[in-house]
Amino acid sequence: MINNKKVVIDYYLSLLILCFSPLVIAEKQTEAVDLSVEDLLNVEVTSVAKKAQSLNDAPAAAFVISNDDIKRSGATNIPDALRLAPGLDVARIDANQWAVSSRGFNGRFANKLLVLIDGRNAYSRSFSGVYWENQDVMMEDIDRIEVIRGPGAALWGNNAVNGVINVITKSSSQTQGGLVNAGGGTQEQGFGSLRYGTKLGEDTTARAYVKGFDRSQNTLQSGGKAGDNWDKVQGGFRLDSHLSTQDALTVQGDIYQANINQLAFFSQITSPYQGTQNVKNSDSGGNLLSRLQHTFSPTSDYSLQFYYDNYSHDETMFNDSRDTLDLDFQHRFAMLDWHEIIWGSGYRYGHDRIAGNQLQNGSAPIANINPASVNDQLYSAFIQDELTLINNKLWLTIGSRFEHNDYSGFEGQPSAKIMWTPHNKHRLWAGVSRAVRTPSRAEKSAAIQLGVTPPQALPFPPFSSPPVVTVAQGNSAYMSEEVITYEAGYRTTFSKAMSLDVTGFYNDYRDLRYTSQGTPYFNGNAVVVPLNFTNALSGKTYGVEIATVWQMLDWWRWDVNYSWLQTQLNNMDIVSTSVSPQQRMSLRGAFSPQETIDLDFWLRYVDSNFSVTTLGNITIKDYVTLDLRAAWRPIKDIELSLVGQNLLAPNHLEYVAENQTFPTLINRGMYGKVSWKF
Amino acid sequence: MINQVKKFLPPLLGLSLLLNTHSQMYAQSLEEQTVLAALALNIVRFTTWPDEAQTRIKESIDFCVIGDNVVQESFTSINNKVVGNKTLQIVNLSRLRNFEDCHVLYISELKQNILLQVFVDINKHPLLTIGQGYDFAAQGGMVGLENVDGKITLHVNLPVVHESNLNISARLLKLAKIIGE
Repeated sequence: MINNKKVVIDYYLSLLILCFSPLVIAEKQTEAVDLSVEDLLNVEVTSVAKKAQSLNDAPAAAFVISNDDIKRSGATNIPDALRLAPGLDVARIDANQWAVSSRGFNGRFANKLLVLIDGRNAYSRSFSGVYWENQDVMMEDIDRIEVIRGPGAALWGNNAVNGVINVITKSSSQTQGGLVNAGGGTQEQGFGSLRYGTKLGEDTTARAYVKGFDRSQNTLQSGGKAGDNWDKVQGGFRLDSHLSTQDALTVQGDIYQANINQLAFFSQITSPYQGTQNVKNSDSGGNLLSRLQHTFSPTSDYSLQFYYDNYSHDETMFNDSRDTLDLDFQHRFAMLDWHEIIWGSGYRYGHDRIAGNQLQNGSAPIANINPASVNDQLYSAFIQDELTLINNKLWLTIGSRFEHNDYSGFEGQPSAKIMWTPHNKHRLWAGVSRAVRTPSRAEKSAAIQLGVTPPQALPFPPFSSPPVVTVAQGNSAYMSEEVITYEAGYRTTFSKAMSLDVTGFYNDYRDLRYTSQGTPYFNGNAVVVPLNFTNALSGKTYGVEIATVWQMLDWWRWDVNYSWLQTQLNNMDIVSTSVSPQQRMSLRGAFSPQETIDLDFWLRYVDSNFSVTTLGNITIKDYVTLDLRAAWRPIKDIELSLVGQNLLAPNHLEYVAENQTFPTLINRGMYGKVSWKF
Repeated sequence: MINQVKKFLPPLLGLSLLLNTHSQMYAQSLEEQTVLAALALNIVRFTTWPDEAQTRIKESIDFCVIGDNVVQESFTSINNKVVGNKTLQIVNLSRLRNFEDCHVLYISELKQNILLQVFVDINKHPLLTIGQGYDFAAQGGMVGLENVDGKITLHVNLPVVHESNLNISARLLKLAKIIGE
């Protein structure tokens, strides 16, 4: 006990010493303004503290994940990198499925978070959500990931109810030359990527990349291998050209193919009433995007963007393929001396085909969608005005988006926000917004068999009751879900080396999805209990998100995030909504004790959460996990790194999917990586 | 779980303490934005404006800054500094307009397409432009400040300076890389 205390005191002492060391350094610093030009040009300059002090100017709960953050986190995919942001609930279901949401309501098909990759929508209409396993980029070419929590519908459109994620890759002018990455380990069994960027003429740059990986399987909660290993190959290109001093053109595209193993369970109306199957699903897709930007003046420009996206997604229950054509126009200009206006309009055309898959044992498909294929359209327009009420001090931003879609008709999504900067070290903002989550194809027109209760023997043999089948039943009258959000935030830089960002929010939801029990009927083989999708649920969530950065020393940075979320749903007979963890915390330390060495540790705490699944309602225990990374650059363009992920336990449960996937424990993983720039 | 965390902490902290001596190396270095502000002040001191512009400069030289809060904060260190018989006045611009009211324009970071249009807007006004980045001067700015491996290098685009009838002292030009001549 005494020994323990001594150790604890030692920690605090050493922390204390470390805390004071930057102050000592500050005192030694010479005033730059007193130096001559010659001296100023000779002095070593450092810019490490900039990240710690920069305050976002957006009147929104915005957080930026930089390229360097991603590299130092050791994350090998987009959803894992999103764990760096406060307020996001990221959970890995198994090796190839994730549940990602902002401010609650998590699920594999979390439907209130919009995701854009270089302006291309990754949110699918089919089940209202993102197939995270299909979304990938060359991680080293990401410029930044902008995470906006809260409604972003006024600017970004439908389904940006609780947040928007913008993955933005670098211009090809910033990725010139070659880059080779290769590595492997236990969970990340093997991966490699190659990118090469070059100049194509005076005003044009381009890059091309190819990447691939093989990820190992995890462990079933019930013991045994989870059969969730997968591999993927992806390639793509980006071209950036300055057609004139006023015109810039970007053309980019990607193509991928993945083999995803799935050990799935499903219900069936014949004995043994639940089946499992091991399948290798094939997913593929691609996209092509082009964007033209014309700049009239420093305060006025427009952009015209067009993309085509295609995917074909396969899993035990269903096959979903979709083609999307999208056209977007945006124009920004200043009016009088105090208006900055952005307006735009868009059109999207979609064609899909969704069908239930025949099961290996010959059972009928458990998902049916009728009609199996539809074409849909979306028209939208938006306008936003940023009014400067007091120069450099007070701004009011008002705007709205108006959309018409084939599922819920006309939607208006306004927003009003105010921002006050009493001093350049302080930012205060507040806002109120409305956003909607539009119905999915499944909610409108699917019938999905959820579970089967086996026949019960009756007291007068040989008779027994028929099996009882519960079926989630689409509803053609299903409407949009709606939220009114009230938010306020404060950002400050305490000192040269520390910043703080605090946001509080209150969300008032109505018309949330609920499954109400319809009238049971006998179909000749079984009693069918329909669970109809309705908009009967309402509720509220509120919470606080805190993000701090502390550049303790030039070579040592801390990033600490904490989120607190309270979910209150109206009491209903059937529990039909998952509840996200109340508390999440992330503590990250980035050390560079030598210029050639990086050491990182990342400790995360996630509170218990609650999943509604076809296996029943499951409470997932809280967990603490730790990632470590060490990197060494023996020569300038070569980096060797070693990453350990989820080190504190051999495996742990993060989330249980709504259906198909058995509870899967995520394994501890280690991998090594070599990067070579040429 | 907590015990496992504790296991990792002592070696980490110990390691960091051992390596702490390394920070002495950085002790001689200065924060980049503060150095850029001090350099900008010196550049203004080495610049003469044409006569008709001189008469417009009343009691203060208006030094306009386009940058984020970190840049703005750093440039307060040169606010009210004496330049000849005038004082330098920092003006933080939140809008990219009315540049002609400035005598000096400092641009920390702008997207390339917008930067080019700023230069079009300024077009030959007797306005000293200073900016950050390796190609600021090459793209049409007057004095570019580039961080090359931890030291600041000056780039001066002399044709642009001369077109605006400004004059930069030879003492400063000696220390700079000259572009366009």
